[in-house]
Amino acid sequence: VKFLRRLIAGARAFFQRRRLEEDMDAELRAYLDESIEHRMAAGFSREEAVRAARLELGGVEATKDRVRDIGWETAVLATWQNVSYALRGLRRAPGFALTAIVMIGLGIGANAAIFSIVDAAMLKAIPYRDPQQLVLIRQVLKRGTAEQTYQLGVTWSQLDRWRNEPQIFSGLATFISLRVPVEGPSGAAKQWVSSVSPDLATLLGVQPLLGRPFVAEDAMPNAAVTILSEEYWNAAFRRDPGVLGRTLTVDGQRRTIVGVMPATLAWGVGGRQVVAWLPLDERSQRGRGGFAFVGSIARLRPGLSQESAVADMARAIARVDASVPLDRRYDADLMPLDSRAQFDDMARTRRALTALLAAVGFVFLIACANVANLALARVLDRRREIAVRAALGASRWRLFRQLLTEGVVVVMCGGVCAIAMVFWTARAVPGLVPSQLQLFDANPLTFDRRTLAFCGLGISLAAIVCGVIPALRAVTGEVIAGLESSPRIAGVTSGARRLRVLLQAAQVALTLTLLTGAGLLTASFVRMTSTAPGYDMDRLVAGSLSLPRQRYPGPNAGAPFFDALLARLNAWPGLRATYGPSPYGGFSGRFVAFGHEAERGPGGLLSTFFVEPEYFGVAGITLKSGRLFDAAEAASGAPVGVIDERAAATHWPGQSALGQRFRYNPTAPWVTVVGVAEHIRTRWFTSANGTIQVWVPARLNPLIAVNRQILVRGDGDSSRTLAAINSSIRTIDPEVLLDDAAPVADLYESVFKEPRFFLALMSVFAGLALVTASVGLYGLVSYAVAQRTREIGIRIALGADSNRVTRLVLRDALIPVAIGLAGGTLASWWLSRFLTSLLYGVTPHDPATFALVTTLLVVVATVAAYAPARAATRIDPIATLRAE
Amino acid sequence: MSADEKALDLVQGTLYMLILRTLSLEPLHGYGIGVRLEQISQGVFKVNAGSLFPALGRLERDGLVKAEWRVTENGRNAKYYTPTAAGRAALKREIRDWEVQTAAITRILNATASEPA
Repeated sequence: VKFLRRLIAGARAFFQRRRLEEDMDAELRAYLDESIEHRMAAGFSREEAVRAARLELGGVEATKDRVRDIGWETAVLATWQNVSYALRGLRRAPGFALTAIVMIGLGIGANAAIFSIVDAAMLKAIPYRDPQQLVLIRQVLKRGTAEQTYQLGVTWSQLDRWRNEPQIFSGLATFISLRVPVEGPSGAAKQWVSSVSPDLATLLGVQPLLGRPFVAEDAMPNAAVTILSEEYWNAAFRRDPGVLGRTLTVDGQRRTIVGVMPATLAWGVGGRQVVAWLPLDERSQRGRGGFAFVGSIARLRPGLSQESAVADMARAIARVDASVPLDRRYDADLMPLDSRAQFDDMARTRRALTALLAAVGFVFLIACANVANLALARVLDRRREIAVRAALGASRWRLFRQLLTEGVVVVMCGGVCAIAMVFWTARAVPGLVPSQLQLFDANPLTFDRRTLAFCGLGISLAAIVCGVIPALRAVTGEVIAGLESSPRIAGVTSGARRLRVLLQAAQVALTLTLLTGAGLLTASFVRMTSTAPGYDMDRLVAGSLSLPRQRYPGPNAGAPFFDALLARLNAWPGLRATYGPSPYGGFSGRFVAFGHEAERGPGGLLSTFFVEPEYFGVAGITLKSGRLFDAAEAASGAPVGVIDERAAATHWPGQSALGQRFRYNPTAPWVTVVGVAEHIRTRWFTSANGTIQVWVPARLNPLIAVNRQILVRGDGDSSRTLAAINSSIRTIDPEVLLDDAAPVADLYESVFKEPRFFLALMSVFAGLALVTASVGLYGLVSYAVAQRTREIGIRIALGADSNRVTRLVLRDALIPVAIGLAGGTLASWWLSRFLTSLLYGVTPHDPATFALVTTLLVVVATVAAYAPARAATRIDPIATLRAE
Repeated sequence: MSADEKALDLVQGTLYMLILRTLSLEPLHGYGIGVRLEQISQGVFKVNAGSLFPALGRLERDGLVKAEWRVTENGRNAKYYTPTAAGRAALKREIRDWEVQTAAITRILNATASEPA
């Protein structure tokens, strides 16, 4: 009530302020009169009474101010006055205003854009209810074994067990994603669908946008229903609300659409590319041996930590009669569903995003230092005005507020421009981010409240740096004392000059750091793209074939088709074809050398290629020693294989690898090395350890039966090769689909998307920093020359030639550059180690890069300082001396 | 700053109570309040205009006093202040709080080691 009353009283006072001022004047006059009267009545003479009364009344204006200050409206009014004063000042200095607004605007805008990416990718929680309770159940080999981190599927009996442990889990759901033909309104195409246990959406706490989630009855074999993903609903049904009840043909089966689920559901369950969900009939899956080839998401009982849950699970395993021998070799383990930090490639992306955020933060700091420096110069120019006002009774606090307002107004203008800019371009940002980055992005990229709050933080920081520092400098000692001397004679006080030099040095140091980062990434990128892949990707085309399951039921039913296709393609003039994955890909696994299981442990990332003997010829992979496996070995699935040079050197250093044995995963047989081939660059080649490769007979892969990948070397344009493959398929069986068919060179190119994205942004930021710091240096030197006009004039009058004058000015100008270079080199040396995992073939302390960016910065700084230095030589000594 | 003013500073907020109490005896103008306070306190409290007018302004804002222009005994126009009903209630509350506090403070200051707490 009191607050409300004050609010109203303030508003009333605001609108009646002229009357209230008159009232206050009259009251104070009455006070004085009464006081005089009172004293005269006590026997004083009139003059004495007036004097004593005046003395007692004290400063009338100060009293009025104190009365005015009791209302909030006064503060508003004063702020408004300060703002309009600041705006008038800025209008008189449009160059300063524009530079400062653009710099702050760019700084904050770029930060907001990068923050929105980092926030979505790294900071925001995954979009499920109580996400910290959600875990994936997996099993690992028992502790102490060589492959202890190797992850395996969970068995159905284990899943049943965990469903019956309410002390550990409050719920458990399963899912499996498949790529199958989906026939929607816009035709048939292969799409990702995910079969999920009916309780999945409830477990995650995701509500359908339309219709209903699955219910238990949906998992009956005859319930042909499906739920669409929001993205597919958008793309294929144009958000038609009448979609419920219509049908979608999934993998040859017509299903009724019963609901639409938001895009968020797809994230943890199959990924964003999932177009539809099907109910998973777990019982129908149980025939397939012990393992459940499904993912399992469980929700921990509230309050239970992941560690205690794992311990509870170990106790539960020990309790149960070990009836399933398979289970006894493994420990159950949990992994948070929010596993963004868990995998190597994600960790690399996180690191890159962090580096980017740091870089854009540096750009912002440079902009702030620059604007603070400009604002400081303005304050120094206004020393006399400030000193006069201080002498006339303006309190330091009042002057401080007024000077602060100018900085704050500039920063606010910049900030508002930045927010508007980012807000209008927010739609474009997701398109610029490579899809690899969005893969693990549970949250859509948006310009939301969090980004806005981040902008607010940036604006506050900028206001402090650009507003408070100069304003503080202005109202403390030296400047106020400036009235005593003419500024032209006094020059700038040494304290203020030191501050300006320091701000400029900080800009140079930060710029050098950014340039070093961009330089290292450039060097790394050049090395990456110029590395020979180790195979011949020219005219090489890869794709994958899938046969309609109904017509090719058994594991070997596809063999006649595959044989016929291969024969047909190889009969085509100029074409050579084989079955096998693109050299760009391969199955990932862990390499274990026989006899070294314990001491070597997991042998780093491995790409396993299940291939035919012809594969090496088609792909253009050179055999270095030994032999390839032959057709007979390939047909029988003999445990023989070819490894790459790197694997040989890593695992059998100083000896021949031929005849040695290895495993490509813990359940695979021991394979004997018969040949060593050239190391090739797969899609993982840029990651820290790189990968090693093994090639083994395709027959060894149990999963390869129905769908196979094909690799074809053409003799001309890739599109002609693709057309040849398609027409061959049509001739044999038009229902077979060729998917993901693309030139291998295009696939290989996609390795560079993410590094290119980071490099491009890093370069833009480094460029911005360089321009900003140069502008700052130019401004600093011009100002110094203007300050020293008289001194330089005298020097010229005394006979200094233009070279001497230039050198004099340049020497002073390069002091902040030298300090900045020293600091920047140290900072870069220390910071660049954080880029290590992003660099390929370059050490983070690459001397050539350091030398190059330092040279670049020195050259640019000299150019920026040279123009004002030359201007100094044109000072007319006579005019200068007359001006005094 | 005089010793008297220092005393006032020490009991922050009591100025409002003293003004309200003075006004509850009879409506007064600004100078009159100062004189009356000095008289009653036998010269201990001197309130200058710089403290008095902001205090009056705040009391008026909060609706504890109301002001009107009247003619003084010397035939001049002056702004007279009268406590409102809310002002009288606030005064009563303040006096009660004050008595409780001063009694407690007195007890503490007079306490000796042997006395039970």
